[in-house]
Amino acid sequence: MLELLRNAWKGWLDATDAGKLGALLLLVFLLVWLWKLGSEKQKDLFRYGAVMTAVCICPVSAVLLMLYQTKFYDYEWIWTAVPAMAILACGGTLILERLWEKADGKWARIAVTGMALAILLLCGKLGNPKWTVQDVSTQREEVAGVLDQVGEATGGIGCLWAPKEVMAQARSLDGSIRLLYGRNMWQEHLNAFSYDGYSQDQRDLYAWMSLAGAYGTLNVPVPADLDVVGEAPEAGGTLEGIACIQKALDLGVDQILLPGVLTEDSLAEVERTFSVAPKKIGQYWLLSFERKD
Amino acid sequence: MLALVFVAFLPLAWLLGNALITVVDAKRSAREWFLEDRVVAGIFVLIGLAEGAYLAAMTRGQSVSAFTKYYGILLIAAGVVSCLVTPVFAWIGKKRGWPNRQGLSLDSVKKFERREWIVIVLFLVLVLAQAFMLLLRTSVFLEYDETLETVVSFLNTDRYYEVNPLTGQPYEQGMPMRLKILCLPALLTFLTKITQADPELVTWHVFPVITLLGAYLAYVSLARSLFPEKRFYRCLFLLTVALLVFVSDYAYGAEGFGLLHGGFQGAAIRGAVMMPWVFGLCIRRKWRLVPLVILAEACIVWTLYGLGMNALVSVSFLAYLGLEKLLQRRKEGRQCLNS
Repeated sequence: MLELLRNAWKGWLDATDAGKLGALLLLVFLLVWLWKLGSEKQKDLFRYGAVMTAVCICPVSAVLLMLYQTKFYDYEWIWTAVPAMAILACGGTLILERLWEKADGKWARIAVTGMALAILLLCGKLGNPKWTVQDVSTQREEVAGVLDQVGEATGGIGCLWAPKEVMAQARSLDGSIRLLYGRNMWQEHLNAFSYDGYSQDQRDLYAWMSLAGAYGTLNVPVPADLDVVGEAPEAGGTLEGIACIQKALDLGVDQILLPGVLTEDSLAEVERTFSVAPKKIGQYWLLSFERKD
Repeated sequence: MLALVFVAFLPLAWLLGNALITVVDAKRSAREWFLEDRVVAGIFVLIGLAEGAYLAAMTRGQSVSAFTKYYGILLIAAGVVSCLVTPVFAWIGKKRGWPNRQGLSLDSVKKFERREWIVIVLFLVLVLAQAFMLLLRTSVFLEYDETLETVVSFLNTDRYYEVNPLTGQPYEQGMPMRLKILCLPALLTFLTKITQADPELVTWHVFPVITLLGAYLAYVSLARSLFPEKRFYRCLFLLTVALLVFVSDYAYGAEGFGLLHGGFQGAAIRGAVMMPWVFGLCIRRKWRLVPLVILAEACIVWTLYGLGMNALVSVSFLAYLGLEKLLQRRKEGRQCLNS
């Protein structure tokens, strides 16, 4: 319960950080009330919206709403109960109508319209990148190219272990590929979709792959601020590449894509240990083992 | 094929929605329900039919192809029934003298003014821009979503949830049943299968355009409820909504964000299509179709045992109306006493 309360408060802070639409909503309520705007039906919308807005802002009632919408959804989604877009559009239209009535002449009305439009647009995405969504088509094309090459080189991909960017796209590009772990390894919310979890070995392998890409060596030190879901490997310790690759093979991996930044010495050591020659595929090194299925 | 499905979608939704509204509210059907109401109601009927077909296939461990067969049969049956219902009810209505005037009769259509044209053109430009953005850009928010992986998994295994969509490995502990019964991934798989299109194209590009279309239809219906007489302000309301879709696309959970970055997700459909329509129904005091939306929400969003946001909104709106009536009566009582 306390955690939910904290989430509700944090969700509200995030919402106020991220933009100004909430403030605009309150301004619309204020102006509509002060200027006594709207027909009976419109007033129904505003009054109902005002009550629900208060319910969403107050942490205690917000928690109750969060419980009602199941814990699966975050704080942001309780705002679905507030017809915010309808209120903003309806209120904005009524306010504009009133301002046009008061404006003296055509140019004054144009100025009022321009100002209203500017206010609306200024409430949009202004520099807060928190939820910025990037176009992923280029990344997907690159990964698709890599997977094609891996498929050609190995006669079909079995269970794959690769850097994060490949693992993130692989399953949505080819349903026949199996992965050592999926996006839920680093996107915690996705764990709600399944009761399955990951073993510490799998988490270590994810950490090793990320760190090997950063350091370019087989044996990588574990930093204290490692960002992983679940229990992180011990900070200050070392994750050894050869042991990690062996662990991956024990877990059933057939193909491994190693980061292209790995040094030649590291690759030579891998080749010596596993008797498999790394093959350059795009910006990665492919290790292909005999398929176990 | 994809274009054909896309084009056939609107008439099909209209046919089903029209029949449903005719049955549910026969006396007032012709006068008080608009074209967009019929299409939006039809969308929810399509979701309901998909859920029925999906449950039939999934619970019996049948294949994706079985769902396709069941859904096809249900669609044809519902289409035939819908075709029969309308003339039958029209005949009954004629016998009983029900009004047959359409919601927007020809005599009430006034000539559009110049300023109305300007607003309508601007609105259409914005809507088209959003549709093209959805079709041409791959700008999706995936942090909370695995829809595409699920669709690809279904297509690959020809079974529902045989493997974990994120890894392709068989489940060890399984997944929550409340998620498993949601029909949206199955519906997307169906669309991908019958159109033979790329799953990514259907899931991330075409389906969100359908959601966008549904959202604007719901808002047109709401606009009619809020501005029944003033057509110019109705158009201005819609233009503001279209602007707000762009403006609010920074905020996760907001309708604009859902429409532009996650139109294939149940929560986005709920926020952008279901809620505005339900608000419109509540404002018009048309409660009979509210259960349809509540059920449709339960088919695509994880709800509290079927009680989702639409149920909450409808009940709280009813409570608000009751309270308002009570206060009004008290006020009138006081005025009587004073006089």
